[in-house]
Amino acid sequence: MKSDTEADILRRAAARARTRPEFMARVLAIYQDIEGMTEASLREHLGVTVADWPRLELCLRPRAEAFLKDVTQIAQGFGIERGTLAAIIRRIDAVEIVQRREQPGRAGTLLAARTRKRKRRPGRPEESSDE
Amino acid sequence: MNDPPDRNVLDALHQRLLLGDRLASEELSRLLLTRLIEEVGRRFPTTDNQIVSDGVIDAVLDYCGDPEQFNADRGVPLDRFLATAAWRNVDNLVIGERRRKQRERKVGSKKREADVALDPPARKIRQEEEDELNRRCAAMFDALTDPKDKEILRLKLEGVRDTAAFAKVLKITHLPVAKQQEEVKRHKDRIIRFLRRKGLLP
Repeated sequence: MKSDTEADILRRAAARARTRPEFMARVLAIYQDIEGMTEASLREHLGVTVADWPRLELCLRPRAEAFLKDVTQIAQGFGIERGTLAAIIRRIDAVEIVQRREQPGRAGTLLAARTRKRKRRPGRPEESSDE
Repeated sequence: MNDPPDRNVLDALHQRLLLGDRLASEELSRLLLTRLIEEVGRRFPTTDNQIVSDGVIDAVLDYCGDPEQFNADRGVPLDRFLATAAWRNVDNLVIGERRRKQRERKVGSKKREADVALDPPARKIRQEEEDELNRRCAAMFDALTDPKDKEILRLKLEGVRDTAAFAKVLKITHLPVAKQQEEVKRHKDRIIRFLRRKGLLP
């Protein structure tokens, strides 16, 4: 009975982690969406048991700067084939990069429209831009 | 109740999180969630279990995402730090829920008098009102052709407020949260406008 409750709590925590980009739950949810997969089919693809699935979702997402090390750690922790897991995460990284680029008005967009200031040359008076 | 978690175990998990260990978050969740939910639930005995568990889960997930918010040098054990954060979360959720219910009561009191249920003729009228409401709900569902729109309407009628639930229906959980909120609102507004045009909503 108690273990059922604990399993429910872990599932609920995993569901809440799906809105948080720092968790694997979000990566797996996005992958399911873009690939049109069910949770069961993705679980089967990765070879993770039903009981372990919320645990995998509650792992932190691999960092870009330590990608291989982090993916290896998660893969070993759940007996997942490392290449398969890495491919899924890389795919989601790419999707998110494209999404960020597609957002109009994001920081940096205006830079292209700004007039570049002229550098003053040492020892010379500033030239008028009307000249 | 179980023994409190070993402080050394918690300190070790904190160190692992600081060092970027990817598995420490799930280990910490397994170790603390059930215990903290039980503990915080005792502090909020009349509060819905789901609200308590949401508050506790958010506290643990917030910490795992940013472990530097906990300073071990202050001498407070990690589980006490998380319990405090969870109490605060649940408090905020309870206040939000109370305000929502107050708003609902305010709106409801304008529609019907409180003693209607005790008066047999009034009860009949009330039953007729409920039948009418059910008919209108059925008409609204019939008017919508897209299964996603029907599902959104169902969630809305059930009073669901969680964006994630609507985002899942719309299959937009891969979008950033702000974008999800924007899209969910756009879909809800579109459905309401459509139902108003059809004369199914005031």
